[in-house]
Amino acid sequence: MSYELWAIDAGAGEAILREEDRWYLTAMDREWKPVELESPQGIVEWSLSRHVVRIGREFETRDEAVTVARQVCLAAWGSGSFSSEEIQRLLADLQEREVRRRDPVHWSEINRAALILDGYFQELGCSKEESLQLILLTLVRLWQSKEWTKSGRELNLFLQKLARAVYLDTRDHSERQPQAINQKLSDSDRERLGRALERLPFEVLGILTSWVNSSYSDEEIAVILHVSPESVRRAIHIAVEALGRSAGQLRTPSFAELCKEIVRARS
Amino acid sequence: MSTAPSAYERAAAGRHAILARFERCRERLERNGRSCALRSFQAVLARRTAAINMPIPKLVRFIEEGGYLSIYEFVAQETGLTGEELVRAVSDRLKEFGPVRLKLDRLFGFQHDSHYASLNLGGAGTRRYGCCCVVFNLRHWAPLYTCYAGDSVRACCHADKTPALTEEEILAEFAIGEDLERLATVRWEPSLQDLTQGPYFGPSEIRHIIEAADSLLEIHLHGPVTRDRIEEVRLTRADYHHLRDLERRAEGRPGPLPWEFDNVEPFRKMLESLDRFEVPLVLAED
Repeated sequence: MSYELWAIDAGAGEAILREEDRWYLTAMDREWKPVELESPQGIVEWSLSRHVVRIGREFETRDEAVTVARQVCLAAWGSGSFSSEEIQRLLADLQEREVRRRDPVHWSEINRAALILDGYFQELGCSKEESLQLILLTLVRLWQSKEWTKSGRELNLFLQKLARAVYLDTRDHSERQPQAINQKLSDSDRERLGRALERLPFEVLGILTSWVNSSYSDEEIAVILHVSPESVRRAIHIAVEALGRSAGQLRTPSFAELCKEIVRARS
Repeated sequence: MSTAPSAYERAAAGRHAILARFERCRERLERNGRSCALRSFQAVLARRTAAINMPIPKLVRFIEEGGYLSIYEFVAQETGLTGEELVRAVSDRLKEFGPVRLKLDRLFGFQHDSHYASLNLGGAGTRRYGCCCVVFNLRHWAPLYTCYAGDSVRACCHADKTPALTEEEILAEFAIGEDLERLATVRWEPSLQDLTQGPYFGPSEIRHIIEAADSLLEIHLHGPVTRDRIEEVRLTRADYHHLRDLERRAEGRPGPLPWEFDNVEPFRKMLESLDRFEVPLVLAED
């Protein structure tokens, strides 16, 4: 059974609800307790001198419909906005907040943000693969920051800051990479990374080992291993997270050697 | 060229029938020795006003904006539409109820600025439409207002949307303002014939008959209903004290207030607006 918020007159602090063939008036004047109206007389009478704004939104419970009607009316009173357009905007804002409350990750915005980030990283000269990794790192940091409830312009600005920080971090590491290439892993690093590699799923370890032991792109590794490019990217991302190192830091001869040792040991 | 509203002309067209019914009613009352009752009934009715009941938030907007608008006027104000386009826009907003509303308007000849009010003799009005009873002096619309003995919307449709009465039967209760006393006499003849009542009526007894919960005499005001035409606003003493009590309890209460307090802010605004525009607030007995 569904409950329709049929219409609102926010200026009068009233709304009409429908539950199948039954109609109700809920009003600020009556502490929002729904009063059943006869149909069609009750609704026609109500509408005679009302600023009827059609809503037509359905809810699972009557309480939910009443709550939204009340929130819209109070918001309209707070802002002095009563026109149809303004009421629809208030309702959309409320709806968005509700979606965000229930599902903090607003995927449509995250997808949009990912596209913007991709453009940003590519402009900085990153390859598609690098860009994808940086996007993932940025989104992971967004998640860790607990700021994912931001939206619109606020979210974009926050993502830009994060993206810049992620880019600078990885560039730092990349710049240190020539040293890293020539440097052997310290005993403690070998031990720590070895333990982490042992804990990785074998499939991830296999992909990672192939990737760090070559200079092939994600797509090329995917062809060689008969897996999807997405699996390659996911495996690298899992490894980066588990090992606490950037992708650039992993593609070194000493780490590649360590991977092969762990693969052999686990095989 | 006539300037009378089309609703007035429609009501005037049926005047002869109202006059004839009233004449028969008067004769019956005279035969039963109830002429005095009729005279006091008519004298009290001569002091009539029109009232529109509305919720507090609606009254605040009316006072602040200066005009009480019909749905047509609201939509016209918002969209700038006129004529048939406006009618279509209103019908669209009312969805399945649009045809009922249009039929009602066509039957009575109501225009976009026709407003529904009710006959008021001093009470708090038809409270199912809201606790604020806004009272108007009929001289602003006289002689071109019209009236209906009962609730025209309810008379026009059954719950299953088929007409309860024929158009002739509905229009038989429709009259020009000048015939309001005659129409009311015909409508409430059984009460006037009631021999358990004394030969004379007082205003409160007539109010008791006409303003009963299941009783209504509709008045249609053709033309603008504006703030400057308000005589007074009535609230029942009980409603007023309840709202004052809520207002006191809301003061200094921390955090978001429960739903029952939502009306406090509009109530404060109402008192403020009435004061600013010098509209009298009168407490009516329950």
